[in-house]
Parts: sequence; C-alpha cells; structure tokens
Amino acid sequence: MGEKLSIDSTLKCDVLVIGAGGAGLRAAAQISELRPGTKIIALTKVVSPQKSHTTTAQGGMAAVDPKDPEDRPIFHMFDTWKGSDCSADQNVIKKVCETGWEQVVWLERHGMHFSRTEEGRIAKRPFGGHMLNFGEKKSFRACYEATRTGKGIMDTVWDESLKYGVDFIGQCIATELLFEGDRCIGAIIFRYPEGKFLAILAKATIMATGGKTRMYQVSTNCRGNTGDGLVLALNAGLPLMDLEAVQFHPTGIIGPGILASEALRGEGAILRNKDEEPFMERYAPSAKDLAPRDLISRSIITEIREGRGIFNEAHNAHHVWLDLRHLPKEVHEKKIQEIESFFRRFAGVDPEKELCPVTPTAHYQMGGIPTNEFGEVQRDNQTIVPGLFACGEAAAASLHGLNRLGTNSLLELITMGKVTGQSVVDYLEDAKGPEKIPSDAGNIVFNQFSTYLNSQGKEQFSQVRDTLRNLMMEKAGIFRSEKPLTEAIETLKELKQRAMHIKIGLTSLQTNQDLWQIWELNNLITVSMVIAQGALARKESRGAHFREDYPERRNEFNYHTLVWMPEFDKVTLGKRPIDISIFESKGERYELFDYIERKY
Amino acid sequence: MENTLKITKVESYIISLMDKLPILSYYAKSRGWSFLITWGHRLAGLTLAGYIFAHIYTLSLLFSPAGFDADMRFLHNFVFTFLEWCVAIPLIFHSLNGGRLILYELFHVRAEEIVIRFMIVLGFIYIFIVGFFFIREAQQISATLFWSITVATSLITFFIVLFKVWLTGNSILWKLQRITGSFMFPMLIGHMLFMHMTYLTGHESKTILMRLQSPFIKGIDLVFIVFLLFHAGYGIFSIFADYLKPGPLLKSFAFLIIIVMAISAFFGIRIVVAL
Amino acid sequence: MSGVYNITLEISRYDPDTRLSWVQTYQVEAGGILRFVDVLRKINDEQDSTLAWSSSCEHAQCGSCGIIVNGKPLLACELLVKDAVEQFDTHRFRLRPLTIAPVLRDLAVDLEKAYDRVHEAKPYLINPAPLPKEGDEYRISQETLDTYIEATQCINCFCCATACISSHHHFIGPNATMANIVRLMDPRETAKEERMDILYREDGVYRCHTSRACSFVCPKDIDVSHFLALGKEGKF
Ligand SMILES: Cc1cc2nc3c(=O)[nH]c(=O)nc-3n(C[C@H](O)[C@H](O)[C@H](O)COP(=O)(O)OP(=O)(O)OC[C@H]3O[C@@H](n4cnc5c(N)ncnc54)[C@H](O)[C@@H]3O)c2cc1C
Ligand code: HEM
Ligand code: HEM
Ligand code: SF4
Ligand code: F3S
Ligand code: FES
Repeated sequence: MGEKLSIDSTLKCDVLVIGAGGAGLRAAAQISELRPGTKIIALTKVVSPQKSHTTTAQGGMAAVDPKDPEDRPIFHMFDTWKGSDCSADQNVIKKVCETGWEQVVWLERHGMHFSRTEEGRIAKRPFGGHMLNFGEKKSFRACYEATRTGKGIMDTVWDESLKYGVDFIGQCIATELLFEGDRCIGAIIFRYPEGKFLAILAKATIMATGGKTRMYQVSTNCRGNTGDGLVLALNAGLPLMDLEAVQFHPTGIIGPGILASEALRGEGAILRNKDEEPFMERYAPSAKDLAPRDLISRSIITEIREGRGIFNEAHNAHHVWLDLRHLPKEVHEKKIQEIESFFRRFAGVDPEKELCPVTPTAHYQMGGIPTNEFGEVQRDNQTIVPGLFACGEAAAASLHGLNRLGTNSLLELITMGKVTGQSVVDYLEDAKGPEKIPSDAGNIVFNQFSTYLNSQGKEQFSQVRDTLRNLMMEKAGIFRSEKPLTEAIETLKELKQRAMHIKIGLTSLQTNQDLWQIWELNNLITVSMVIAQGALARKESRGAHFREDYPERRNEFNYHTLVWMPEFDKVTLGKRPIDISIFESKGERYELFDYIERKY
Repeated sequence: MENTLKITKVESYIISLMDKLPILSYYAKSRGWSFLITWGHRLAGLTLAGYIFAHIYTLSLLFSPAGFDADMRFLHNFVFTFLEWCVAIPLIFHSLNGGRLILYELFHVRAEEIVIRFMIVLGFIYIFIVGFFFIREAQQISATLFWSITVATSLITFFIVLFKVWLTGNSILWKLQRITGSFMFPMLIGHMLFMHMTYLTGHESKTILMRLQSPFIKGIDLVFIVFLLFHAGYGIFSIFADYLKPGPLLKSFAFLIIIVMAISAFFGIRIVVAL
Repeated sequence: MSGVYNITLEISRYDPDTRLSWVQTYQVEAGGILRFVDVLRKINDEQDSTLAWSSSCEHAQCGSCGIIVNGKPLLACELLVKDAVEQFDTHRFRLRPLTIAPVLRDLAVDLEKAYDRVHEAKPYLINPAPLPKEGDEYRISQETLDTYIEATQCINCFCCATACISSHHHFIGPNATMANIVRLMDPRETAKEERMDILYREDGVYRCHTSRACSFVCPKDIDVSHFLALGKEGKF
C-alpha cells in the first residue's frame, strides 16, 4: 500500500445526521418541518436508510391514547420507572410518556400503515410490563403494524426525509468527529465503494448510530451494529453512560439469533434441556416458563453451564429446546403461525413435530452517549458539547435506565428524535458555519487504516472475532462477577493487540470488506472494554445487569455509570445522578416513584 | 407463490417431461412458468409479425392470378402444408395468451392457473381442429353465416375491452394494443380456421377473388389489416423500449417501425381495395 | 435436524481495481441449517477473506443480501443449505450478483443506485388528506387496508426487478411501481394526479408484461404482479 491516505473532498451542510435510522431521520424530519430549507446530510452504513436496523423491530410502540378511558400516561411512567429497576431519569420518562400519542399520530399522519380496529382506529396490543393502575392488570398500549412495526416506522421517517430533500449518503462509515475548540463541527467519513475519505462540515451534528451488541456470540442486532458511534464519542474525549446494561432475550433462534417472541411461551411452549426436562419448574416453580426475561435467560445459561445444554455443530454454539409440539393444531395455525415460521425458515425445523433450538440472545443496550432531556450530548454532569446531539439506541437520555420495557425503544426513537430535532433548530438560530476543517482532521482514521492495511501480522480476523464473542458471552454476558470480569478485561487488552496484527487479504480501498470489518472489530473491542469496566464497577444487580457476587440492588449505586476512555484502557469512571423529579414534585402518587422494589 | 390448484396426473407428467429440458426447467424453477409463457408470447408475436409480411407478399401475387395459382400449386406439398399448419401454434398460443393477459390486467381475473389450463386445452383443440380440416379439406358451411358470427363476436370482444380500457389513464397506444388484440381474437382464430375449411378458400385465386368482391369482406379485411399492423408495430416497439433507453436510438427504431408498417399497410390495403 | 452437506459454489467475482471478472469455485462443508450468508462468511473465515458480499439484518427483513442462486434472485440470509439442495436438486450452486445495478466487488452491488428508482416513485404521502380532528388519527377501515397492506411489506430487495423480463434497461421496476400504487390506494393520499403521471410514464407500468416473475421470486410473498395489474386497470 504505497499511497498516502488523504481527504478527498469537503462537503458543507447545516446538519449532519450520523446514522439514518429511526431516531436520526425522525430528528431530520423535525428539522425540515420547522426550518424548511435546512441542508441536512444523513449518513448510513447500509445502502439506504430503509435498511437500517429499526426495520427489524416487530412488536410495537408504546403510547397512551388519550381516548382510552382506562389508560393514563402516569401509569406508563410508573411502568417505565419500575421496569428500569429505578435507574431511569424521571424528567425523560415524563417527557416521553406524555408525548407518545402525539408521535403516533404524527407517524400515522405521515403515512405509516398501522393495524386498525374495527372502527378504523389504530389498534393496540398488550406487552410485557405495561400495566393499568400502577401494575394492576395489563394494558393495551402497544400500537403496531402487524409484526413489522419497526419497518413501518423506518419507512415513514425515511419517506419524510426523502420528501423534504434530505441528502442521504449510504455505504459509508463515519470515522471521527471534528471539533473546533470544544464545539463539534462535523465528521470525517469513509465511502467504501470508492474508498474515499470525505470531510463533512456541519453547524450541528446528531449521533444516532443505533444498537451495538454484535460483540456477543448470539445477537439479534444487525451486522453493522458495532458501536461505531460510541467509539467516535470516546475518541473525542466524551464519556459513555450505563454501558454495562445489556438486555438479553431468553429465546433467540440459534445461529441468526432471531427472536422467538414470548408469545410462544404465552401460548404454552415449554423450555427443555438435553434430557428434555422442563427445567423452568426448578427455577421458578410458580411462573415457570412465564417468568421474567432476565430470570429465564439466567436459567437457560445455568443449564448450559452445567452441561445440560445441546451443542449445535453447524453454528458452533450451545442451546436448549423450546417445545411446541404439544400445542393444539389450532394454536399452531392461527395464533403463532408467523413466529413459528421463523423456525422453519431459519433453523429448518418443523415446530409441530420437532423441538426448536433456542438460546439467550443479546438484544438491546440501554446505555450509550449521555445526553440531557433535550438530546444535547454531555461532556460531564454539568457541561454539554455545543453542536453535538444524540438520540436513539446510541444515546442514553435515559429513558430505560438499566432495563428497558418492550416497545419503549421505538417510542424513544420517535419522541426523543423529535425533541433532538427541535433542539437542533434552536441551536441553529445563531450558530455560524464552520469555515475550515481542523488541520489534524482524519489523522485518527488514517492511522487506523494504515495500520490495518500494512499489517504484516498473522492473526486471523475470524479467530479474534470469535474469541471476543465467546469471551463477552461467557464473562460479561448474562452472569457477571468480579473474577471473570477482571479476566475479561485482561483478555480484551490482548485482543486489542491482536486486532492490530490481523492478516488482511485485500489492500485496495474500494469496497474492501476486510478493511472496514477490522475497523468494526476494533470498535467492538473498545465498547466491550467499557461494558466490562462498567460491569466491574457496579457491584450490585440491577435491571439487566446481574452480578452473581452481588445479587441484590444496592442504594449506594443509585446513579448512572459514566466511563471515559480517550485511549484504549485509559479508563476514568464517573457518576451521573438519577433524576427523580416526578418523585420530588410531590404530585399524584409520587411515592411510587421512589426507589421501589421491582417485583411482578 | 403457492400453487393453489391441484395438478392432475397428466399435467404433472407433462411438467416432468418439460423439466427434462434444461433451459425450460432452469427458468421455470428460477422465474416461474409465467415468465416462460411471456417469452413464448413475445416470440409468437414476432413470428406472426414475420408471417404477415410473407402473407401480404403472397397475397399481392393475386394481381396476376395465374402466377398466384402456380405458386400455390408449387407450395401445395407435404412440407409446406405442414409448415402452414404450424402457424396455428404461435397463432393460437399468442391469441389465447393475449386474451389471458387482457383478462388479467383489465378484468381482474387473477386465477391464473385455471386460465392457463383452459388456454392449453383450448389451444390443443384448436390446433387439432385446424389439422383435421387440413386433412378433410372439404367442409360444408355457409361463408356468410361463418363470417357474420365471427365478426359479431369480434365486435363484442372489441367493445367490451374498449369500454373497459378507455376510462383508464393508460396511453392511447397502449389501450389500442389491447383493443386491436381483442378484435383480432375471434377474427384471427376464425380466419385461419375458415381458410382451411376447404383448401380452395385460401389457396385458389378464383375463389379468393370472388370472395373479395363482397364489400362486407373488403370492409372486414381492411379493419383487420390496419388493426393487425398497428398491433404488431406497437408490439415490436414495446420490445425495443424494454431494451433501449428513450433517446435518439429508440426514436429511430420507432420511426423505422412506422415506415415498415405503413408500407405494409399500403400493400395490404391495395390488395383488398384494388382486387 | 441438520447433517453435513458437501457443496460446491461457483461464485462470480469482480475486482474493481483491475476490472477483471472471473468465476471462482469453492468447496464447502456446511451444516444443513447454515444459511447462505453463513456459508459466505465461512468462506471468508476459512478460505478467502477477499470475497465480498452484502448483508445487514440477516433476518430477511432489510433486503440487503439479494443474490442470484442458480438463476433465482433471493435473499442469501434466508436460504438454508439443506433447503437449497432440495429446491434446486443439486449440490452445485452458481452465485451471481443482482443484475439491477453496477457491481462493486464480487457479489456486492451498488443498490444505492437502484434505490434512485424507488425515490422517483415517491414512496411518501405527497399530500395527506386533512385529519378528522386535530390530534386524532385518520380512520382507515381494516377492509380498505387489506386491499393494499400486502404490498407495504416490500423491503426493496430488488429480487423482483432482477427477475423481471424487462427491467434491466428502462423500467422503473416492479417494486418502485408498486410503491407508487400503494400510495394510490392509500385513502390518505390526495395527490392522485401526480401519482398517475408517474405510473403512466414510458418507463412506468407499460414496461410490465405480466411475466409474473416478480410474484414468483418475491421473498415476502407479495403478489407484485397483482398490484401492477391494478395499476393498468387504473381503479383505485
Ligand atoms: C429484533 C429486534 C426487535 C425489536 N423489537 C422492538 C419492538 O418491538 N419495540 C421496540 O420498542 N423496540 C424494539 N427493538 C429495539 C429497536 O428496534 C432499536 O432500539 C431501534 O431500532 C434503534 O434505532 P436507531 O434509530 O437508534 O438505530 P438504527 O435503526 O440501528 O440506525 C442506526 C443507523 O446508523 C447507521 N450507522 C451506524 N454506524 C455508523 C457509522 N459509523 N457511520 C455511518 N452510519 C452509521 C446505521 O447504518 C443505521 O442507518 C427491537 C430490536 C431488535 C434487534
Ligand atoms: C389474436 C389476437 C391477439 C391478441 C388478443 C393479442 C394480444 C396481445 C397483447 C395483450 C399483447 C401485449 C403483451 C404485453 O406487452 O404485455 C400483445 C403483444 C404483442 N402482439 Fe399480440 N395479440 C394478438 C394478435 C397478434 C398478432 C396477429 C400479432 C402479429 C402479427 C401480434 C404481435 C404482437 C407482438 C409483436 C407483441 C409484443 C410482444 C411483447 O411485447 O413481448 N399479436 N398481443
Ligand atoms: C396459414 C393460413 C392462412 C391462410 C391460408 C390465409 C389466407 C388468406 C387469404 C386468402 C386472404 C385474402 C383475403 C380474404 O380472403 O379474406 C387473407 C387475408 C389476410 N390474412 Fe390470412 N391466411 C392465413 C393465416 C393468416 C395469419 C396467421 C394471419 C395473421 C398473422 C393472417 C392475416 C391476414 C390479414 C391481415 C389479411 C388481410 C390482408 C389484406 O387486407 O391485405 N392470415 N389470408
Ligand atoms: S416486491 Fe418483493 S422482491 Fe420486489 S423488492 Fe419488494 S420484497 Fe423484494
Ligand atoms: S416480473 Fe416484470 S413483467 Fe411485470 S409482472 Fe412482474 S413486473
Ligand atoms: S440481510 Fe437483511 S434481508 Fe438478508
């Protein structure tokens, strides 16, 4: 590789959206609506925003319909607070829950094809953890589009941005953020079809790079969910928040990790181990297979750890069985037909006759780039970064705290996307355009890429990747404790070194899959390090974070974890207090918004 | 796409035979049978378009009846009769399939498999009947009755499609393609059948010339040739338009097609009018 | 459940640096329940890291992984090895990139270009009808919704466009045409005229000859040709 890497050209715009997923484009649409003529560039790794990960979400989007005589936003707030195991920020909860319905109507208004009731209104379905009257009985709160709610949302925000003339740049990766003093002024991107670096100067930048759980062996996340956005923030000296909180779904289909919804267990499906024993009876004698997600996940992993799992050679992974054979034909054909078809399609089994292979799958990361309730990125508890905003799964505002309720994430994308768009518009009012790119722009990525391209190393990409995935699954996954986490941190340091010496097959810059995958792997290792460090520091169990050595929630950890790591392994830890403004306001039933017990 | 129709033994046997042809089974597996049928429709349309040029040429020989008869005698052998019979295959295939397409696109008939099955059966019957007439040669039928029925049917199909398609927002040329097709549907099927009820109707100058004296026949033939040339011309253009971007090249081809069709129309009309 | 298959893949390769194309053969031992994306990844891991291909969700929900296998355009992330062996009745597979856009490298295609056609079809509501009441949703009966909901499942994988008898040169494509038709059927859309103009462009619905390959290959089981026919029928 003789040629020197350099920036090919510079583009200018008002707003740069890094990550044209559901959240990023909702923000873009909001900006265009409020401030027509704003020049917006939206970046995505995939060919079109429509292919972003939001498109795979199935279940629904929670929102309280004001026409519903029974349901009220305060119930939703309570559910969210309780679901988060008392670690979400109440100012954000209030804002999101109160504006949810308005956003559902916005989506409908802009063309989303929600499923309908007989009167032609938007239909709603119940979802785990969403209740009426502060936990009394289940509520019908999840608005949905068949089993494609995420697709409906993605299509709608993509459509709107298209209509408003947002410029999409696909097939690119944002590789570093640009700063002028402490103000963010855009980013460097790498367009992989041509292999060119571009600098994009923007008055405001929104980070919405989405999920990031590809470091786990089995994950529902898409191939590109490698935490790039988080690493960009870290490299810029910004902190990450609550990264230790990773939600696992107990029943992912082995291999692809696709969700087999709890609806199956709702209909009576039973989990079984190698000896076909219905093992949930041992772990949760009364709730059995309908116990909460985290408990089931832990039970499955215990079975596998104790040698009662099954090994699948094709996918090189362990699993247990989900038994659907005994369900009546009618249930198979009417109620669960669609979910069942995933097993047929992706695992080649017939659920009516055969056992289905499932294993816990990493699903969602609650933490991310810390922002305030306006979507402004924080440098620490007190200060924000001018010109930099974040929303969606990449950000932590935080609506979910250490545990997310199903269907709350899509809600967050849309509500916080809108709020962020609004903040950007306010910011643009007296923001001046950046004039020129900083002299050292691109140095980070040029260094990285030259290292990868010129590597004389012998390390195999796949080995480093697989080691990372197994490591994270085993030592920083569903079960955590002091020793494995410390070991994981040591191994991650090693892996980081190994990743620098991966043998590269292709040294071209054009569509070089090898190159960007090594870059992504490095990001995964970096994010994994933050996860492990956060998990090590949080000596308690709360929400999705479970420490075997500290199985209880502890009040001295009533805060958000902040981690700075401007260089790999140069870790600084910090805290951000949890907002309990609903409790403090002493309004209706405020006592329920105290640090209450999370019991269902 | 699940086939909801039960496949009969005969059909599955035929399909298994066709499966043995590598090209057919390759496309049938990768693009579906409809895709192959559409290619068939296209090729049949082009074959018929080629045929019409030859047809106009031979008919123009009628200007010297002796020469025409001599040529016909020359062509009256096993090989040519067989080839002539073969024309029935693309003809009935294109006609029935054209009918199917019109039903599918404009009349909401989406039970494809059933229509295709009808098509195949009717097609076979037709080819068989034409062949039968070829061999039997002499039929007794009233020409007036035959043509009155055929033209009446043609007018019915013509108007049904006309009313249906006219209100749509499609381009006029596209509409005319369907309308002319629907007129020719009974017309052309009848034409071929009639020409072989007795060999002489289609091959002896005296008989033909006599028939052509009737203003009624002249009228039908005029409509027929104009419709057909338009239909073939637009059909060929539409194939070009699939492969070429709009631009000078496509324009030149369109121009060329118009010229060829206009010249053919001139000769075709001259035959009917002048003879 | 699985069993191991010995399959041969003949893969079209293209190198944008030298502009050379060739066909390369790989011998792979694969578990029956591996999907074609897993097999390609296996080739990357064990034999040839330079082989480029695309995917994103690997859930059959985003439409990034379309390739042509033995002539059939399909999603590589939902084709299991054992199903492929059964469906094509062979252990040899010929893999080619989709033909709908320029090839970037090997099996990776510049779908961004193909997307331009979808953009032209304006998939959004151009001019939504007024709401019955501010803050209230527009009412759509389940019956009306049922007439077009199937078509909204399209993920723009361009398999149909690749299979279509006529799309390669001058056809906006089955999926883009359908995107327009969906909005014509949507009771909330008022800009019908503008949509009709798009529908009846020379590169619009006339280029469809009802070859129905679109419906045949569509991984979402959408009867695409039905919707295109509705376009010709012109009744919305
Ligand atoms: C299988 C599944 C089912 C789910 N079901 C539900 C549900 O029913 N209800 C619910 O509420 N939530 C659900 N979720 C969660 C929810 O879908 C996600 O949290 C949400 O879609 C994230 O949206 P986003 O806009 O933040 O990111 P994404 O949609 O992931 O978008 C991120 C964008 O950033 C781009 N990007 C990333 N890195 C870079 C880079 N370096 N440079 C440039 N661009 C980049 C990506 O290409 C993409 O366009 C589900 C998640 C999964 C995986
Ligand atoms: C007998 C009744 C006929 C009917 C009902 C009929 C119907 C049709 C229809 C509906 C089409 C449109 C196909 C499409 O583009 O989607 C078509 C195309 C065509 N027809 Fe006919 N047709 C008939 C006779 C003929 C004849 C006699 C000729 C030739 C002389 C002919 C030549 C063509 C050609 C060349 C095409 C274009 C094929 C293509 O685009 O692939 N047709 N016909
Ligand atoms: C193969 C058997 C056929 C025979 C023997 C035959 C014979 C004839 C004869 C004798 C005429 C003179 C006019 C008349 O008597 O009405 C004629 C006219 C005509 N035929 Fe045929 N025909 C045959 C097939 C076809 C086919 C397949 C087509 C369409 C592609 C066709 C299209 C026409 C047309 C358009 C005319 C009117 C000619 C004109 O006006 O100049 N014929 N045919
Ligand atoms: S219609 Fe079907 S095949 Fe065509 S792009 Fe959409 S999903 Fe893919
Ligand atoms: S494959 Fe093509 S020809 Fe029409 S019916 Fe489908 S668009
Ligand atoms: S990768 Fe998304 S559809 Fe195959």
